[in-house]
Amino acid sequence: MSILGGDGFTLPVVTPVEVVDVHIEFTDSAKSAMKENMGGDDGSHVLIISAQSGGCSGYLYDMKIAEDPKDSNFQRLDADGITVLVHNKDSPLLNGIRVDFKDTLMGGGFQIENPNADRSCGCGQSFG
Amino acid sequence: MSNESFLHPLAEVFILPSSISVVQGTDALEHLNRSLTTDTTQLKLHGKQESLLCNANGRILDRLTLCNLEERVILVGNHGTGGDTRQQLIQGVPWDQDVAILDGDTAIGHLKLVGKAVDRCLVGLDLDSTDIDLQSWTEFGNSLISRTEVGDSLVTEILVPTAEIDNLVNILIDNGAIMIDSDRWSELRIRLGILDSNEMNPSNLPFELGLHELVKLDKGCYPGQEIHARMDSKGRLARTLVRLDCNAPPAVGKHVIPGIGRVVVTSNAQYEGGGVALAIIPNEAKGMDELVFDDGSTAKMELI
Repeated sequence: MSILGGDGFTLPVVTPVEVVDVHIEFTDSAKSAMKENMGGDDGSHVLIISAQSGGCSGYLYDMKIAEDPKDSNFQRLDADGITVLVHNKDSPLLNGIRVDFKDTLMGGGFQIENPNADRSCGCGQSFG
Repeated sequence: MSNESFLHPLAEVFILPSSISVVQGTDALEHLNRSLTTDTTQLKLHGKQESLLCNANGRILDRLTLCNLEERVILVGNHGTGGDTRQQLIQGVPWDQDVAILDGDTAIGHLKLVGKAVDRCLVGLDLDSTDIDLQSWTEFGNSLISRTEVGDSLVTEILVPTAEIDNLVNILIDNGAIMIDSDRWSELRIRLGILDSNEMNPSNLPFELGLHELVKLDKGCYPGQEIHARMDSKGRLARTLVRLDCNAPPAVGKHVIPGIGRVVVTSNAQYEGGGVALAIIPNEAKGMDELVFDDGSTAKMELI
């Protein structure tokens, strides 16, 4: 037996999350960039937008194109034919965000404005 | 503090109230890396690492000592902060990562051993004391042992299943160690410069407490990094931590000293023949030799 083999450990800590219906606004430039990034895979792949701990302000945005996980814990949104998924646990953090795309050399790429954020860091990738 | 006449010739043992959490899963170290002030991704099996959990304002929420047991990382934190630390860590676990967080506050006990010949008290513990080092945890029985360098001294620490604490302490006592109470521990930790939640809390920033080694600005973003980077680039601190040596230690709390400003005494201890305290003073006063408090008492000041 090791030090972790004894009694006294509780079940994993869980935080109850209030699930909200997610609404996301995509600008035209964001939709266009999303389509380009999907590379024609929008039939089989989805865009997953999520929040994870980290960054200067507490949370980091993450966007990834992946095969549809077909998980009922995700909310499904449609952005001009592209399926966008947001996990229920991230719904309070991401509801109401506006996703834009800036085609500039400095500081370009997807930009997220988040009405739920009290603060964001200089690079724009973190919020809290 | 180089004069260590206050240390026991063998060892003093204190059961240090601590919070214990376990972060488990294949992504445990990566998850911790996004939240802590040091790079946890390279932590080896049985590796030990000191780190801080800070808020977005760069202030300290908890000090954590990590022990990597392969997809399970034990976090030893300050007493009383475990619940908040666990909540902080469980929020923001990515949907596609394997991370769970357990509360081990009642499962594992934390012993500190301080003295001039601690190893002589470890006889009979199925342990080669030469194996104990600063960067890793050494397993013996169901327990783990390591050392921490504090100033010129070494502090030995043991993590032991709660059910086995009494047995372990009895062996240490049979080998000549003595159990100490919280008053003596306070005196020892202040004299040695060991900080606890009295100092490491949201009132303070790591650099003010001299915890530069626990802040790795080149590791990437973590909560508080932007503030820490700004402080580092400015290269100036508003406040700094000192140890006070006096006849009777000043009360814990805020004191206003003419010509110096606000002094915050964070911890104090009285012992036979004197008193010691830790205090955060305006940085401009750090070159002074002593402080004179409003009641006329004086305290010699030493940077930690």
